[in-house]
Amino acid sequence: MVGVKKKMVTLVSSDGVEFVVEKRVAEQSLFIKNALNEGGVEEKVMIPIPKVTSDTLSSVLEYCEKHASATEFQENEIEEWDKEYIEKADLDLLYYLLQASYSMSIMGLMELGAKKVASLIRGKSPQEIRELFNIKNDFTPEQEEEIRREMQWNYE
Amino acid sequence: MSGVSSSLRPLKRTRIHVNNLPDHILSEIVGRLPLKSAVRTGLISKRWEKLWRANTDWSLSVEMFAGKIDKAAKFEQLVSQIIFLHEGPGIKVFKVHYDCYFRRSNMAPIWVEFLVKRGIRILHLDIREAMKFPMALFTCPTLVELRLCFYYDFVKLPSNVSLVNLTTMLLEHARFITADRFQKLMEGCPKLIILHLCGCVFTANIDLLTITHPILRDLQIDRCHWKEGMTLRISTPHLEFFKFKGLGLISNNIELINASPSYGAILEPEEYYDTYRAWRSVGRAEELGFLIAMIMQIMSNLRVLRFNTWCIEWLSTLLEVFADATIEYPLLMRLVMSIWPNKHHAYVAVGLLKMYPQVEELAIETIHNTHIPIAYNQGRVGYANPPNFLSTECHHVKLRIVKIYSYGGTADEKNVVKYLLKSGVAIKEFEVKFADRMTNETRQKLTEELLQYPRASPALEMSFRPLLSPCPICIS
Repeated sequence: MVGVKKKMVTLVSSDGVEFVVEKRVAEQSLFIKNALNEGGVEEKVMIPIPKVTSDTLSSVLEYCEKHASATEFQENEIEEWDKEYIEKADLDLLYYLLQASYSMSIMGLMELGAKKVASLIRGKSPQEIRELFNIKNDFTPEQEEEIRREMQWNYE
Repeated sequence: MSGVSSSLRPLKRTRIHVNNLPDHILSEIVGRLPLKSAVRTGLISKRWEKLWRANTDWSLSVEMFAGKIDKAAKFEQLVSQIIFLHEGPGIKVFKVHYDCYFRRSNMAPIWVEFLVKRGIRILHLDIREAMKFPMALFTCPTLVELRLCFYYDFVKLPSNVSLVNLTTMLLEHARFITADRFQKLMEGCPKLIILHLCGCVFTANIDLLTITHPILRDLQIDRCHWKEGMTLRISTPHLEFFKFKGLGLISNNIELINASPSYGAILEPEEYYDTYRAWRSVGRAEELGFLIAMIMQIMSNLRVLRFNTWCIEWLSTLLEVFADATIEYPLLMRLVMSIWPNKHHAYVAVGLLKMYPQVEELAIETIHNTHIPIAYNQGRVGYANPPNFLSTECHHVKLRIVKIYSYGGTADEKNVVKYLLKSGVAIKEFEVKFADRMTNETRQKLTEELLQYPRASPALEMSFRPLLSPCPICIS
């Protein structure tokens, strides 16, 4: 829309950094969309985003910006972009993105992140997964045996 | 890519552990794994032990144990664990394909009872076991989609079905002993939008079957059985999509009442050659053509129309009459047909295109390897000829996309392609997929020929679909 002033909102990360973004970008998050609807239509909206730090938020907003400007005709392109976007995230960022997408209600991003983590797990043994994610095995040998017995059909 | 720099991130961020993620996210992750991998995550640690059982969306088949000893027993154990030890808010989607191989276990009714109690929404039961369903299934208020399919027995529906939120019902191999029973079923599903009847049997005492529903939009009748001469009355004011496939279009009276506006129709009669000959010999083959015309007359808002070979065959006996009987379909965009490689079908294919000049996309698939003699020119001696629509010039100004599938390069197929290239002045895409089992040399020769035929459209781009790629028409 040429000539129309874009509506902006300000998002505040948990560490106090302010991000000024277009309303339509911010509304990719259902959490923000709802907050905006509740707050009415006043100028200079400021929305705190608890539990999401500035560096995660900037990455989340990168995703929102792309998806807000995507049309249905660019489906292939956006898939490619998603793939690249999630590929360059390391494990830590991936966790943060998942957490943020959950608390901000951005379904697409949560799916993307979950799919990525699932692809890391797929085909690996429990021990390999523990090593990958640095998880401690807190089962006693007896407990582990018990689960294996229950799931016998899966381990033959 | 937008200008956010990613190089700063690792410095600022503190480490986080996967176990700090909320259950909901971990379940989301585990839910995206194939079953075997998902179950294995139960051994990672206590935090992960029960996550895989929180999945609310299951699709299970006994074939996942194909080749294993005692696969039915193993499968049963798995399904029981998933259903009875579910850790989440209740299973919402459950699709199961199960063959108990005559073990007579009768677990399935117990599974169903449990799922219904916990608020199942989508349930597909493809079970090869004679079983009696708990009544609760047919009064389940949470169910929105139900597929019932049995092969060792008929689905017998109780008379007092009450599925108040059901929008989709797929019934396979169900048997109805009275027309009233069917009507009760429709009344018991007031929100039904999609109804597919596949291989259903209506017993011989039924002379008139009425399918009436105030909001039904999609009705597909696929290879159902009824007595010859039964009247099928369809009274559905909001029908948008209608498909008829199978035998019996000729020997039944199908009446569509109030069935407008329709968006798409697929007509796929499948008569036996012998029946067809018998009907022809007494001069009644045309009747079916009229029937097709009648069915189509009601659907004024069609956008997609698909005919199979038998439909084209019926139309070849009276295409001109048919042209007078049907209406214009101002919204028709897409015409799809399967033809046999003979002159008459080639004429009908082009004749239909001329009849509907508004069509923008045309797909023609040739069916080879058929055992029916009339599929080929030499088997058509003594059969009526439709007019030669190929001989008259015509410019198709709307046609933009043409797809020719299973192209075998017979003279009649070539004539159709030549006609389309010559008269389709606005064609942009012209896609060809060759028939299977063709030598490389033949394919090469046909390709060269295709590229040399005169074209009317300067923008036309001809492309060739890879050999092994599925052919979109065949998939149905």
